[in-house]
Amino acid sequence: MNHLLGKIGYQILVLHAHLPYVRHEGYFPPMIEENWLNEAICETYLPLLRSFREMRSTGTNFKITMSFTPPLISMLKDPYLQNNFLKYIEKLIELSEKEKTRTTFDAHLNYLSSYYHERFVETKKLFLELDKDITNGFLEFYQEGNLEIITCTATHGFLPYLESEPSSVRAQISIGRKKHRETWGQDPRGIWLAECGYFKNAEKYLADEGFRYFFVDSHSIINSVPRPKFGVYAPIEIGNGLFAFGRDQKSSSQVWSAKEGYPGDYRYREYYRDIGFDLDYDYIKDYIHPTGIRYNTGIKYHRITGKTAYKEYYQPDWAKEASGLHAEDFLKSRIAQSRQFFEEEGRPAVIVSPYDAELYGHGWYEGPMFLEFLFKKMHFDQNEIISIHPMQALGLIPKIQSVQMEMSSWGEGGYGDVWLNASNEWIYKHILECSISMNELAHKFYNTSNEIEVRILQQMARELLLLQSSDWPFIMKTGTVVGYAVRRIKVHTNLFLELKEMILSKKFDIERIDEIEKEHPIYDSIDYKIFC
Amino acid sequence: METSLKDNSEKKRIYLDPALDKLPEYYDRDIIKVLTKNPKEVFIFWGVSLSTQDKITDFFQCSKEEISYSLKISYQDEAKNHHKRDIALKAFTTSYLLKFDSPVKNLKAELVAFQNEKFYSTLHSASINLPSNQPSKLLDKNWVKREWILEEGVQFIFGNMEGLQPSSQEILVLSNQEKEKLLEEVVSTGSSEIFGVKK
Repeated sequence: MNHLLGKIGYQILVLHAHLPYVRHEGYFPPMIEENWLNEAICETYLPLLRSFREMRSTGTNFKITMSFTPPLISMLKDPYLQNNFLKYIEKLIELSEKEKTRTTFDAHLNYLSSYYHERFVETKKLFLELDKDITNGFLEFYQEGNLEIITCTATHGFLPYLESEPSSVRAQISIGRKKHRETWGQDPRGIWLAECGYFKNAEKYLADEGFRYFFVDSHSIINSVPRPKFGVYAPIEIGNGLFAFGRDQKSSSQVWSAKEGYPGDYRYREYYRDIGFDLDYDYIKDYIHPTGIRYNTGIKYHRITGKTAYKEYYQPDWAKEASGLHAEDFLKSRIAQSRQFFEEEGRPAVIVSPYDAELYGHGWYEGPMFLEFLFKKMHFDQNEIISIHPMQALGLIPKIQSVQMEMSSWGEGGYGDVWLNASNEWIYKHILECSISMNELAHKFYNTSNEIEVRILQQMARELLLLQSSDWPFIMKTGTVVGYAVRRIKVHTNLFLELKEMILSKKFDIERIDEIEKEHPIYDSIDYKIFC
Repeated sequence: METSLKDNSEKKRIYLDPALDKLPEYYDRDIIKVLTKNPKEVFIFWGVSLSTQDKITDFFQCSKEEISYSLKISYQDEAKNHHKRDIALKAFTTSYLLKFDSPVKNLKAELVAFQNEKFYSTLHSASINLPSNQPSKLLDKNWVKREWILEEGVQFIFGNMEGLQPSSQEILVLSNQEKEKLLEEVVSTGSSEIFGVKK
């Protein structure tokens, strides 16, 4: 603890790793949405792990808080999806090998194709070294103390819209905790509420599960009652032994802002120039969707260049230099913020910078490298601020103000607009009906010893949790794969109702139960009684 | 981008099964919910069970088609004044987006069936408070910045906020003289509680 004293600022960097639960074994052609996991493993999770290893090897002290959502963990540990990734990376190795041959006409392109080939080979090697379960890689950093791993609601359910159904709120939080314990061997101290979705008195549910802290957006803290003296620069206590940490807007916009954020630098890799779209169909067809739908391969040869359709070749060294400069800029900004706060208030600033993990690597290719530079600079080049975990902040701050907060989120607008608008408001009557029914049936069949009834109730619980995922209304709002999100709502609702009818009528169809269980095999040890 | 799916098996896989493509239009349950969209908007949706619909037609002694519905909304504004709104609903409406000029408190929605001059109260929602979208005017004396004290309209809590025990709180509006005194107190204290560091 001594090395933490005497600082003017404490940096809490949070990476929230999440993907919706997407698993469609046995469909041909495969569902295109299954590729999200492959892209994230290849471009975010393994590169982050490589960065952590690199920092460790150089003796860099770093502290990062990382949330792994239960759906993501379930997918990362699923043998079917692990083997999917293996095939994916092997295909990329093959494609990049072909590219090395194809691009001999241009020295720089040829260099880039070799660059990708090497990276993909390394990626496969790392994946196999981890026995195809990448959580193994993060576990060592959790155990060593560099990572503070926290959980999330069971299926990324947006709690403000489940508030009227306490059993569903309890289930989302409890199952999130259990999945964490099952995966990492210990209970989490913190939780990432999906979309930072908080409702007044949610902390009571969190306290019941032993949580100590969570995160909210800036305005949640700033608008709390009474007015918090230190704004987002200090955690606040909100009752039941829970603390909330508020997002710092300055550090957020330096990375997230489409206008001025680092990822828009012209030296960085252009996301939208991928050979999956650029190259001739006959050449690329074995590496895109079997139906012929083109999608990203991850092999991109161009840099952003400017606000222009014309793009120049990517120069990895330039990008590396840019990420180093941006890390320095980020650090300088945090030091300046801390100095100003310390001058004004006479105590160190706690600066909370949360991001979606997938921004680092997948969205912003150079993101993991930026983090490496940032923590190295923080460790070796200065001693005014230091990275910490949230629980350490609670020990370093002399007194913490108690306040009450109101409903909020980190979504656009700061409340519920993203998940409740003309594109998705129709889903809530179905979610509500299924949530109420689950509670009723959990009570009705609380003491059943009939194995089939138990199986049905467990599967109903799975369908309900998946129905409650905030991902589907989010997708409907953003307008990406809307058809898929709508389909998920319909399938989960209808399967739930079908199982409800089955258990009430006692007309058990074992084959159908088997089929539904195989379709959505998340949380195999779920206890439906959590919905009482 | 959405996948196009082809399946040649006779039995449709779950995600290809057209039988799972249609959602129920109606659930036989009495329900009314108010969801907060943002500090100035709520989304209200409801459903009336068959048994309640029967009670309503019995009450009015007429068919379902002859009955109209309205939403009665009650709430308090920021000045704690009570307001009511009566919103006539078109036939078959099961949801409504309600807007306000500013965040309101104790918002309740009641679905009322009516015919001619007779009314039948059908469903009542729980009370909700819309979140504030600006910093609070309520200040804790122990956690106050100099520049806030002289702000117009601020009120002060004197009491123990730790652990959020409201019984020992008292909210006061200070006179200018009292504010000046508090300001002096805050300025003169000027202490730092940083462990190991003095300002």
